[in-house]
Amino acid sequence: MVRLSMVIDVKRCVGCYACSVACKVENGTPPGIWYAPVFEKEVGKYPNVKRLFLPTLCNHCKDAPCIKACPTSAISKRKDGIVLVDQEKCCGTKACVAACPYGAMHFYGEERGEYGPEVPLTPFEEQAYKKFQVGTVQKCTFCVHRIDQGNNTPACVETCPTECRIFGDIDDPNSEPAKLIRNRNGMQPRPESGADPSNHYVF
Amino acid sequence: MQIAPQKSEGIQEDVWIPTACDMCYNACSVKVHKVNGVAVKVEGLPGAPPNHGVICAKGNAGIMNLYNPYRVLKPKIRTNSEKGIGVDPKWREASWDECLTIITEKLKKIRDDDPRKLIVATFDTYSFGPLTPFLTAFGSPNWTTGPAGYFCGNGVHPVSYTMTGAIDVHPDLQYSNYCIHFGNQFGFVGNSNAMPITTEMARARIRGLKLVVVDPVLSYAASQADEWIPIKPGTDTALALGAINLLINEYKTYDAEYLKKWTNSPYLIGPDGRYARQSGSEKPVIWDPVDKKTKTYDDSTIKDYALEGEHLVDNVKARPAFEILKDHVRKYTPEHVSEITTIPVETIRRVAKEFGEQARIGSTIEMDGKNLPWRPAVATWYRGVVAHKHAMHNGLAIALLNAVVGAIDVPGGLLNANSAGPFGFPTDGVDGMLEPGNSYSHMRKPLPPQKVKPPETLELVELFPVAVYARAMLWLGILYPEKFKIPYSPEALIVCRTNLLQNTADPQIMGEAMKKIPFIVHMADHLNETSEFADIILPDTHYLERLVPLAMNPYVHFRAVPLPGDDWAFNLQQPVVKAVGEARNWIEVMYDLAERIGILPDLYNILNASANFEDPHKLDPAKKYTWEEICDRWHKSWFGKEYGLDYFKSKGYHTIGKRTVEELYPRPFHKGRIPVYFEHFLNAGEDVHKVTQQLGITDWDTSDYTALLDWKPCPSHLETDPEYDLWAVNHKLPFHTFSFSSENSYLSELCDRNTKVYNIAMNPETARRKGIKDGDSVWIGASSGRKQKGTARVTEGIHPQVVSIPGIFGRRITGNPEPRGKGIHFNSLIEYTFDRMDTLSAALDACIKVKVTRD
Repeated sequence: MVRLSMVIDVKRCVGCYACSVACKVENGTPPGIWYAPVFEKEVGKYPNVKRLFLPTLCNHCKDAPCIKACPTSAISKRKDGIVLVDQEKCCGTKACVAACPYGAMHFYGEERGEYGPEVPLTPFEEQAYKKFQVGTVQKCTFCVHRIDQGNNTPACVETCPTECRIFGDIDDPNSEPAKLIRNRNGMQPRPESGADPSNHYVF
Repeated sequence: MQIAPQKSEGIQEDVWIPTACDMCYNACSVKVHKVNGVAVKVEGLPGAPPNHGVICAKGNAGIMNLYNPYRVLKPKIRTNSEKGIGVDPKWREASWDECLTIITEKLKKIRDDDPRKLIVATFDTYSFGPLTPFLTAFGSPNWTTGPAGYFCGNGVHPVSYTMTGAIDVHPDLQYSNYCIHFGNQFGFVGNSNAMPITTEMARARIRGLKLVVVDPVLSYAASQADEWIPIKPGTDTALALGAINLLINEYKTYDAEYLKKWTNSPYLIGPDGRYARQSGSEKPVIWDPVDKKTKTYDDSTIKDYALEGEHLVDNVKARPAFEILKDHVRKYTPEHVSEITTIPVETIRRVAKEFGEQARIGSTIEMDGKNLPWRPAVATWYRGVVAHKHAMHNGLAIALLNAVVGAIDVPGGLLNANSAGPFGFPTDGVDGMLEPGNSYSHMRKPLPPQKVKPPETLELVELFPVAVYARAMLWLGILYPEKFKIPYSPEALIVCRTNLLQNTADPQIMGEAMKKIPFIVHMADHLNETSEFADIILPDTHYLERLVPLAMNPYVHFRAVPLPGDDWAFNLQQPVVKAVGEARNWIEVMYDLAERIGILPDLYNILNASANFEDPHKLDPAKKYTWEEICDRWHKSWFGKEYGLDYFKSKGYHTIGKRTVEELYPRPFHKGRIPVYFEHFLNAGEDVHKVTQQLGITDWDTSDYTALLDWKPCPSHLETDPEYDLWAVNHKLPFHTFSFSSENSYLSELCDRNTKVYNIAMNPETARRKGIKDGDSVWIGASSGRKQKGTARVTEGIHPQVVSIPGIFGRRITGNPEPRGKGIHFNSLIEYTFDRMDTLSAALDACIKVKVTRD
């Protein structure tokens, strides 16, 4: 089997947000929808204080709660593990949004432009938003359109200057992400969710 | 998206076009995806050094600036003759021809009268090469930049030239094991060479490099460091000198061999503080303890150099510079340094010890068959250290810390950006001291000091013999020409790609100075605070719409130089899409103006020389060339006839071979010595004193022209009013550059989502003392009366005596309405007066004492 996964090396991340923006442009997501946000958390007391950066994205869970929750069977899992929403079948019940333990499902409620209602959509947005149907749920696809064209590097991975996102098939024990999980004790995010997320974090 | 197949019908064009990013000045090589005439994605250009296919958040977001619906589309002319902050210029649209006719007439008149009355302001670093010939042909020395000339490079570039012969320095993270960052974020998408150094830093940290960050704020770098050392603003020099004291006097950990061979440590110093010289040759002398006699520093019979002891030179007692330094730094005891910096004594001791031990003095490493000293400990500095009154001493003190352990221009240490390359090599010049050998390097050199003269330039750079520029003096020169004895006043300013009002100093003072310039042209892609003072607005292109030769040029600039293992690489910025509206590339407009004024033949001649045009590609001054032709000839002159525009347009970049070990680590391969004792400051200072006295400028302080470095308090440290009990500092974000990136809708949205951007950070202890809670509306006010309103953010990540404001926000005039009014404008708190300037480096002090009160 193939199980595509992203392993995130938190020790490398510097919180530069290149991944978040690369994803935003690659996918041309509408305002307010960010598939790859980075969360920050301050820990410790002055002067022994750190800020942790946690890059996130859809975990493409093995036992994905979003798939189970969808009343119209709009969400499915490909053989390589990628979880996708079929916009033609999605009715916008948002059941998946509630079911996802990771906040990775984004409801697209209304069409508006990045620069506000006073001005028309930018030429970039005009092209990009054609891909999104209002009233449906959107999510990270691991840049499936790139993978299907033979480019196995999602946009967030491609741009990262600290090499903190490692992508590949973790069912292949010789893959980089599988080795990283083994060698540096990779952990699933919130494993208690029971969803068996594919992505892992190393610290 | 998702499962529904993407429509592939209707795609007539689907191409990737290589070019140079322009969301900061690093010129990363990128490729842009263009579909049906629309740019839809920017990515790093795989394989292209030095960024090797990675780009930052800003670079990714670039197309949202391109498609900003608030771009300036047509030229505009002011109809309201009254100028001021908040005064509507009442623009009317105009044609290019009408505007250029007006500008030509003004410029011709100025040139006939006194060409120095024209100023051009830009931080379009890629266009410096084509711009300077325009100014030279016109006859004006008045070219200025924005904030980089106020707070940033002032205490970096002259220090780098002096210590390495290059315009800039960076840590050798591939071979270092211990790195102390003083007030900078190398490796965290900050500073020059941002992408490759960030990659190197991540790899080094995984490998086990220990990173120590000295900063009042838990910056992005500090938050990921092994150790964050909070420090009181403006006191880094005390820490550096304290560490030097411990290393030399207590731990006896210094690189004596390095100091003897490659610094002026053994030069004997006479009672007057000057080098003791051999009579006749007038060369500085050293003491050879083996032969027990004085010899000139370059004597081939020298068996050893004394670093200590008293020796007679022509019957006058003299001591080695090193011993004088050694005695001088004794006063920087850990206890005294702790009082100044607020850093615990044990931390000062431990870090100094670790730094010395990690430098592995005496160790060597083999590279490319050559045995080199290996000093895997490095101390770095940038804006945080030098945006202060005593910027030159501050920068030099950190550089000196590296020199003491022999960690400059050797593996693992502090490296020159581009002092050595196919273009030349550093050498030994006056008194055996290092002289830069890079003929492409474009700034004035500080060693030997420049000749002091009465001012010709509005920035009075003639009175700054050891600075590389004096940008921040310009507006004081304009405001007070009588005080500074400038024999003329400016008549016109052309400004492009720098927002002077927002990025530099107090906008009120900048506005007063701008009002003194009768005619201002702003070439702008969107209107900003500077536009408000313009008489004419000309629409400028976005970087994805314009052609600029050699955008990345590591011979000239420091921002994209090859790191160890990498190639020398050059790139081109080319139009990816058609320019919007009537926008034109501003530098092409300057060349049009040159033709209209009648200086184009002169410009061509100067460009031929300054940009190293070679036959048969030299420009014939009798002819007129298109901009494309000029760029083509430029590239062919540099790389050969196969490497013209066509080549660069299709490949995007060009490499000319690996940077060699000698080019990376030139220290063992040349004789030019670097100072640990700044003897050359003494005469320079006396010259400045003499000339300023002659001119009748009585308050020109020359007290920092000393041969030995010292920590001195900033003006803010001397403020005693207990009401103003906090220091306000400014910190950088990895997803913003200067002020222009706040126009970008993606980056603006990112800031909206990030709780650490549009507010004032303060320590919980401070907040408790002031009765302030997280999210409270507060006033931050300086004793000068300047104040700003903002929202408090309570965080453990800041020194209790400090509040911090990120980036350049608090924007008043923007195209995109989203960021307008959000955040706080730090520069509005800065007092912009002569007494806050460093008279050595021309840095403006950005260290402000404030009070914070609940709204």
